[in-house]
Amino acid sequence: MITSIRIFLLACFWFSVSNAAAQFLNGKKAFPLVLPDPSGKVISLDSLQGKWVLVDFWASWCGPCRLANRTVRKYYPQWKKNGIEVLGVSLDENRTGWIKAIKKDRIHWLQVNTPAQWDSQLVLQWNVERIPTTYLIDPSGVIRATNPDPKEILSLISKSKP
Amino acid sequence: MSQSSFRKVAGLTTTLLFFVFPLCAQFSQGRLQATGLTCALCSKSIHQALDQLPFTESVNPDLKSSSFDIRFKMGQPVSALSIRTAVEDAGFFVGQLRLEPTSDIMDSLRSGNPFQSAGIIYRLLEEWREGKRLLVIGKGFLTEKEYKRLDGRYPELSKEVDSVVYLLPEKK
Repeated sequence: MITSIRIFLLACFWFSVSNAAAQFLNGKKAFPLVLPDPSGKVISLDSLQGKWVLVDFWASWCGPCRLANRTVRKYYPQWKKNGIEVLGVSLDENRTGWIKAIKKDRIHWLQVNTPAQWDSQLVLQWNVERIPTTYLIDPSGVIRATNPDPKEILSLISKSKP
Repeated sequence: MSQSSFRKVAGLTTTLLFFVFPLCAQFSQGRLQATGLTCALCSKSIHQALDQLPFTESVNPDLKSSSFDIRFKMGQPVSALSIRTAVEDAGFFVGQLRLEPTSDIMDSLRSGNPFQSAGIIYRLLEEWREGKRLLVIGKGFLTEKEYKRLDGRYPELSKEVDSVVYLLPEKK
């Protein structure tokens, strides 16, 4: 019983610390993101300026990320209609694992990969302490929300419309 | 060899090895299952804590087994206690730790000889006939439920000291 309480308190502590750490980027300009897609073509976040972009840090070996892919797949057509693009940033060291997961999860939104995993400079800049971590970027390139749920995404966008 | 005579031989050789003939023993790889309320594989803190251990060569998360596959540096003594500390400092707990010794150590252990590595004596609780991997048994190396189950079976566990780590052959 005492161990269970200890685990719960530790988890709460880590969750709040890492969530707070990620949240502090809200309102800040998004960091540059230039990485190759599965075909080797380089995609940059800058090239998506003018659109809302959901940047999603994930990996093929992350169970909760794979579940989140299902949610994105469900909402992606609706988001696309509302001018939202999704950019998945995989931390997979193993390229084959990444490509397999894209096929298996039927991902048809933009995908790039940073093979340096947790040692990637990008992970440090974007303050990714655990995955999945998502950031919603507005058309001017400013981070508007961290780990937003689908309802929050649509609400933020509808509020921004004149 | 009966279990009690195996224990006697193992106990005697532990003492001899510790004081007279400490081996530069080695594990080549390990598989770690970490537990907690959040996904351990998805956490930067645990990955970095394991990666920064002086004897770690590489750390790879594996979704199928929900484990980290760890490769150890050749010739570097491996400390199961340091692995446990790294996991706990990252905010998680060890659910299961399996270690694979190099072939020379494997032969030595199979003949009932414990060995010493990184200041720790690794001792088998049962005769090891088959398989390549060993389960680390002890407080903080298993879930509480599993530890309680094994504690009743192996009286050595209740007399645990920090310098001794117990091992069980992995059952297939």
